[in-house]
Amino acid sequence: MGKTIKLISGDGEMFEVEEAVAFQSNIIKSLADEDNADDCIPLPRVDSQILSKVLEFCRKHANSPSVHTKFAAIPSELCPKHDGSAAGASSSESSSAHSETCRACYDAVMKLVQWDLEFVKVDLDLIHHLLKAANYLDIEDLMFMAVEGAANAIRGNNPEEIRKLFDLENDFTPEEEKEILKEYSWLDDPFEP
Amino acid sequence: MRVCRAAGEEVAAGAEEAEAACPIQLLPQDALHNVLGRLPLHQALACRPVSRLFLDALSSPPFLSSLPSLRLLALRHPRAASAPHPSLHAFDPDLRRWLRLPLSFLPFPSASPVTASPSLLYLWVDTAAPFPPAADAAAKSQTKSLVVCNPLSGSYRLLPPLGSAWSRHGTVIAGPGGSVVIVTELAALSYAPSPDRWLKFPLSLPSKPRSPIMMSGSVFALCDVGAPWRSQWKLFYCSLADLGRAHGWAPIERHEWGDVFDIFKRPRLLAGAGGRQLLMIGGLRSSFVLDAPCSTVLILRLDLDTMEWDEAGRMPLEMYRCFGGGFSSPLEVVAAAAAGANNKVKVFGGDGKVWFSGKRVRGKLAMWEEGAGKSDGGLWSWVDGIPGYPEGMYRGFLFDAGFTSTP
Repeated sequence: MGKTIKLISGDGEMFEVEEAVAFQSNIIKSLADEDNADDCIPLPRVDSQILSKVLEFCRKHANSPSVHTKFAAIPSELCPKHDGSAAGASSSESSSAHSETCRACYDAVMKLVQWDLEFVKVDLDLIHHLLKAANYLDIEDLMFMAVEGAANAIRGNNPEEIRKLFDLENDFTPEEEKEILKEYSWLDDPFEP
Repeated sequence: MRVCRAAGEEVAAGAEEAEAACPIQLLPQDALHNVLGRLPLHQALACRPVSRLFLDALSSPPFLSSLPSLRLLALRHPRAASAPHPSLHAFDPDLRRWLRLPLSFLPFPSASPVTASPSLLYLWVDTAAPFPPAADAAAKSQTKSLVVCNPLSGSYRLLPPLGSAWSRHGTVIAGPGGSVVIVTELAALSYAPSPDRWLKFPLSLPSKPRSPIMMSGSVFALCDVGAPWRSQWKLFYCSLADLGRAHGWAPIERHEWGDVFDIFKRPRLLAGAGGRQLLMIGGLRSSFVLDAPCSTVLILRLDLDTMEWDEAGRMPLEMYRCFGGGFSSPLEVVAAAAAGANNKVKVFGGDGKVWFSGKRVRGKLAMWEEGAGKSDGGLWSWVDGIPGYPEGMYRGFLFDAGFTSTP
């Protein structure tokens, strides 16, 4: 295990994780940089259940390129074929030339994306907590995937189903609702010749 | 009535009892915009009736203008945009369905859709005063105006009126930023919102321009520089800024191209994907003998950066036969000619999507879409269920329906 960081959740539970995992959070990274003597970072706004989910995500992403990195920019150290050992990397290839054609990199990233999509296929309550945590801890990839998870929940559902999912009340009067539904009804009501 | 408001982080953290409210309300407004922004336009708009929280998020103009538009093929029909339910018929190639966009917000008795910029719609409307009724019917229809509108936001603006001859004989092309050009055989009219006037320029082209299009701030057109018995096509372009200059139009040609234009019968131009490619589409002559039938429809692509042509696609023979082409023997050619066969094909589209209509192909269009891989020939398919117009020769244009532009 490399250098570790201790995180304390809002409900007092301690999580010890590798730096590479914890530093996915820009907030944790900047707090750790502040020369904290006992490497113990309190996170009062995240409780243990959510923090453990967040760390599961971070563990998976610790040695992978970000979801936003273009394939061409994946550095060769992150290629599964090369396994992080310098001896394996071909010295004649530059990092960018390596990943544009490297099948192993492409497959690894696609596999990660599939894992992420499964990870956010959870109930909206959990997604909401993940969104809040990702926002608070500034974890870009988790934010991105949690938003995607919420969007997936909305896709293809009618307003009543969306209300149920988000636990919302219909706060329109029947007249207001009718007016709103009329305005772009042609988008939902394909024209049958 | 409970009013939902998205609260800031600090409020959410401090008040544990606020957890009793629905979670989505406690997220920063940004998060909801992020989520809704992942949805295609029609699904995002469908979320408006969910609750006031969603309606507010979806009514913010900066947010709406950030949503990607719906790419549609709109049909030009002179009467569809007239009473009793004036509308624009358009095809959504992603969901493969026909839509009817309401145009009742336009206060004109009749409107004829003509083109799009591609995010704003242009229609010809009659702006002659209805009262007193003109004694002379011809006088009544002597002026026409173009109206530019956004059917989703219901906003519109009239352009300065023109003599009706321009609407009968001119080809209207529109670009981003509100620029419009109307091209006829001998002259061009140019409009921009800032002088808000039409300017007229003589066209310094060797012959009547064919298939003018606007792309990347320039107008492109084909001209026939050959003899009356044998066409010879040449490509010309003129930047919008240079339309008025004496030698604003310049040919685009390269020695290496050889006789690339000669393989086409009745070529047309369309904008290719990405704004730096031109598509040339036409019948592929089966031989250089005059009047030889065409073997199919060919799509060539010119990369304006490398100035090189490559083949983008070729209509499958089974499809071409439906348009009345693809004769496999001289006997068939003679028989078809005797029967007065008309296998003319109308071509329209842009940005890497092309649609074909033909008199013999009733009720459907052929569609070609540029593929992801440049050399894969693209994707050909049939589009059925065209809203019933008695004529078989539909014409249309690309329209990006959304909130990204206002007239």
